[in-house]
Amino acid sequence: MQPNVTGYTFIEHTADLGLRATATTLPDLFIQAARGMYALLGQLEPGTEPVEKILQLQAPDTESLLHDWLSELLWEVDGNGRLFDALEFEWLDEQHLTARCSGTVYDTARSERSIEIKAVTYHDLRIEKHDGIYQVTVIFDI
Amino acid sequence: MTDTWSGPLEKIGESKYRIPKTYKPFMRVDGIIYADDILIGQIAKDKAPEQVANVASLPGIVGASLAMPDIHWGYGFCIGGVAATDPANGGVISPGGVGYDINCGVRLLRTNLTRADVEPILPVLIDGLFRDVPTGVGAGGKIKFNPKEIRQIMQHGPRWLVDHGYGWDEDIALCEALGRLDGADPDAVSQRAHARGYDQCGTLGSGNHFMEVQYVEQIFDQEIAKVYGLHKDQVTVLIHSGSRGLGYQVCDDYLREMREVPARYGIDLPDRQLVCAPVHSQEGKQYFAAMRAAANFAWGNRHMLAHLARQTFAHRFGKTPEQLGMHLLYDVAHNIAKMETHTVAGRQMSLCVHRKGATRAFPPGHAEVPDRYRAVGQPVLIPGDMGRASYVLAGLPGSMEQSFGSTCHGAGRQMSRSAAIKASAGRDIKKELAAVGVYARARGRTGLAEEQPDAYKDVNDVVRVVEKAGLSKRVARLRPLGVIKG
Repeated sequence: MQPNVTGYTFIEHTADLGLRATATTLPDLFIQAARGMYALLGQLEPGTEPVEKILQLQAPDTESLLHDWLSELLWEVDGNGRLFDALEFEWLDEQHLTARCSGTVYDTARSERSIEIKAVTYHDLRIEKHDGIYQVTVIFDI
Repeated sequence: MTDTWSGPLEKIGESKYRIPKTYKPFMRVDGIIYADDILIGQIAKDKAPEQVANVASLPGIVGASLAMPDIHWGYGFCIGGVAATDPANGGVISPGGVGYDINCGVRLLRTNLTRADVEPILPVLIDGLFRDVPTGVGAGGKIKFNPKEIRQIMQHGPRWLVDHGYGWDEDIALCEALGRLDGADPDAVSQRAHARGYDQCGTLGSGNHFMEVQYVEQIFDQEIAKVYGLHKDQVTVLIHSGSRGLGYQVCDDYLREMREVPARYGIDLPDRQLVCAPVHSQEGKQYFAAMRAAANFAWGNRHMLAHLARQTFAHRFGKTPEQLGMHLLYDVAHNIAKMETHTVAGRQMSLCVHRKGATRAFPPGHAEVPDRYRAVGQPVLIPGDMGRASYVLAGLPGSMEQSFGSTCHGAGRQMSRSAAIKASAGRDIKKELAAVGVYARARGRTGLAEEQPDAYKDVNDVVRVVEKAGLSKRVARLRPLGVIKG
């Protein structure tokens, strides 16, 4: 495995923000993209109330599946205050996933949300694999 | 992502450029961009013109795929785009043609205060607004509505709020579409969208949304200004917000639900973000009903924000909002799809007009212009950046002839948010604004940097183009005194 191939970086865009995630496996790519999105939201501090959720998703293609995955996690933050710091895939193929998500209801008093993500967009959303490395760019509407 | 566009741009008038439909085989009509020689250079710096061409592929599109001079890159559709489709001819409705912030728009309140009345207490007034008006990410409303009441707002817009003691009866007549689109169905709005929006009626949000206290710096047309109730040095309050989380979720839900709809109807699209459904199809009707509900909610949201502003002013000046003359001048949407009647090649047609970052600008005499403004045309509200100016325009007959009754919506971004933050490194944007006489309060650490004046095109250039093109004319320029942001 090459060093530093797993992770995410933020990228700029005319009106909005995005991230580029890389990983050696598809599940890890999904996890890196999720961590990047959490980081974009601001400084979110875990709380004391533990939460766990099994996410099951189905989509027509892998890009749509990634879109739906990030959208679900975003909804959990905005709708339920849930921040999942442990993400584990029980199943992931090109059109389906089952993930065990564990974390806490984040501590709003200690957290600072810096941006509001309106949505995960489909713009240039393309998962590519070169030399064994998966890469994806995700643009968020903010 | 800032690739310069190199496709054809034919100059066809002093302030008009054409992308001929021969550019791409999928184009059903030409693309038309309103711009002058300076702005077109900025516009071609990204792929927005390509998006104008892509929109020309939509089934049933009529006339041309249009873009206003504040055009910039968006998702699928560019921001600043106008597209009208004919449902009787397979015309489609597209969630991407409205955008995530359904019925994002602008509301302007007049006052009988002058600049001299406000300037001595400006920081206190702005701090008061900053405290009284919920701003920032996920901020909940000061006045709570239960889910049943939110359904009522989705169906009836500000009318329901006035009937329950918020705002003034006269406000209703001064909203585009009277603040209510028929055919709104809260049941077409997902539970998730209800949940995201239920405590956000009367909240400003974040990003480019703001509430600004301004004064009338210059009058361009005395007669129209008089009809609008505007005079030099008068203080106004401009509110820019939309449907908050509820609208974002409606758009996201339907982009997802419509993913496989184009294939079902044999619609081939150059960009999947243009997903759409025939207006008359079940899928199209469902989205339209949900979008209308979110639009009505947005009018309700701006109505409540105006209510909060009136309360703060009343408190600070020790007079009632009525004594302060805080009348609504007008409220317009700039992200919306509506059924409207337009005359195309001499024939009256009922069209689905998408305005994404474009504002309705109906001319004098149009039946949908409120009685008191009908002789001079609909007020058009154009928010600029924090350091320069905003404009009040009036609709002109040219808008009906050329752009389905539409004009521009703002200054248009020219710098990415991160570039704006980088450009502000080592600078104190709040102090810079103070130096030009603007007192600013923002919730986020980077909000002011992201929204600094340099991040936007010069709104003066944008409105000059739409006036030259005959879409709308300048009535007054409003200069910011103080602003609150999320």
